[in-house]
Amino acid sequence: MIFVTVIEPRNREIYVNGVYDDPLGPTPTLVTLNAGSHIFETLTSGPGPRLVDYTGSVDNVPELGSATIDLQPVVPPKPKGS
Amino acid sequence: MKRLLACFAVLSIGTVLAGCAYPIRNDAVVETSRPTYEWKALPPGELQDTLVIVTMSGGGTRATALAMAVLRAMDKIKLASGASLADEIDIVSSVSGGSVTAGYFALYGTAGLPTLETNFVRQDGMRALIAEGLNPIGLALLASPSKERIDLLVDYLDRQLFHDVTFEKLVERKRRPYLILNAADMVEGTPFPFTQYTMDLLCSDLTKVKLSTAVAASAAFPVALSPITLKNYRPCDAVAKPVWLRAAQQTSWYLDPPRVTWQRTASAYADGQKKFIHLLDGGIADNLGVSEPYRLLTSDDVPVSLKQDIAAGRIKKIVFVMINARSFAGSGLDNSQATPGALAMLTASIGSSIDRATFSTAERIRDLLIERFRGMADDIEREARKPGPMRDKLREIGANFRTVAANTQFLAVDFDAIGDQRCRAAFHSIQTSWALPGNQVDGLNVMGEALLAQNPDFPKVLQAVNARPGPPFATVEQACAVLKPGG
Repeated sequence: MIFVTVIEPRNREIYVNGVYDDPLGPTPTLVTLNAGSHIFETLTSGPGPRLVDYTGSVDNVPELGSATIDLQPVVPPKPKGS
Repeated sequence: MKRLLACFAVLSIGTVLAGCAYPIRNDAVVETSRPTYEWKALPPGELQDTLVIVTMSGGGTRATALAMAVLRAMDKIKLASGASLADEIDIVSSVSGGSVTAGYFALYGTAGLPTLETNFVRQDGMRALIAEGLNPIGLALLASPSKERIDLLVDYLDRQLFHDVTFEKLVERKRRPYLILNAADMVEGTPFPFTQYTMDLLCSDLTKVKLSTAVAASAAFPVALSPITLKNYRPCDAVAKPVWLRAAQQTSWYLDPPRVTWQRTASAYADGQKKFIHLLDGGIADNLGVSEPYRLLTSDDVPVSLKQDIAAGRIKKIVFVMINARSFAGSGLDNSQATPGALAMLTASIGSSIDRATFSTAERIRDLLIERFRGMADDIEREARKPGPMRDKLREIGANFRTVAANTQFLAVDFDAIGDQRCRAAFHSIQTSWALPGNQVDGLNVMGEALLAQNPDFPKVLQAVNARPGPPFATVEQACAVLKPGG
């Protein structure tokens, strides 16, 4: 179990590891995850296909570790997925 | 002259058959806007804060019948609304013989159980399969790549139950349970759950897959039946590679071994390294069908994000019914000094590995899950004691995990729980086959209900779902009387 607090961008829904059905937020928000690496994203609101407009990650956070991150803008926004 | 003509006919047929291609059993994703078979698209029932999971093991018709009996018993448990506990099942995950029941139940609910019993459980499937495979036309077809031994089972399942319906029918039904049919990748030795998020790795559309194909893959007993082979359509543009793969690739194995292990197989699919996936009986990897529900409850990488539902307090209780139709049929090998033959060794090695996959998981799943939830609650509450702006939120999340840990009920249905030794042996000795004598089906019908109801946690489950008082449940003694030892 690790504790990741996502601060920026404010008041946005966060998606973890590409699970786009289940947003977490709004930011700033705290997410509890398994130890390891994780990818965080926000999506544009549409109309049209929703694109990734902010992203960030944590790498190999050990058990009971914590991290606070700000997501960085993706310019131009890119489609979902790796 | 006649002989010459016959030879010409055989040669002609052979030439035609040689030109046949192997069957394509799954299609590529061509249109991403089409509805897919997703957990989120299936609305919860009346028990919104209670997650009801049922897992159904392998074991041929013995497993099909036992799972059917447990569903009938769950249908006797009525809730305040008049719905039954069977109507409230959220997820059903199955292997092999259990997959026949799981697939049919997901299609038709409890209303389909009489048809399941009449058209499948009480039929002599072995005779039908052998007759189909050994007649001249069947033999000729099986000589070509376009028809494989597994097609005998696929066709039989379609004739008796599924009638060529695909997963699209489950999308249209828009009702839980969410169905997870589990096969095993015979090269990797890992479970292969038929879910859209698994098929996404192959850029393939689950809604186009026939239910009979997935059930047969789940039940493709090695050697006796051939594997179901899926085509990998990667590389493709229609479906992006899942984001979690990138995160998992960067994760140290020491931090999350199961995630890194699954990532290796999933990446081999998504990178297109494996052009074809050969699927055999799911029992090779997990004969209880519990591995995928466990992953859904503990992983951060799957679209069925039950762990986040628990963290957010949307799930407060879990009822987990594990149906295990494991057998211990006696073997003549135990009483013979003669060196076992190749076939006996092959059968024993396959059967033993499947039973072991059952044994290890059945013993551990309850403790694994409850301890995991408790551990999460402990970790979060420890973190919440530190100063910081998120303390209140942490306390809330920790309390939610503790609530679920305290309200998770396991109901294991297992012949091992039969107290009477002779009766237990009688049920253990029911063969793994697609044909059972009527008295064994009758016995399983009663024993499924009795074992569910005699479980020490059964009253807690009735209380957890606010069940209304109903008719009495069958007892194990009554079930034993139906299947007389040695009968």
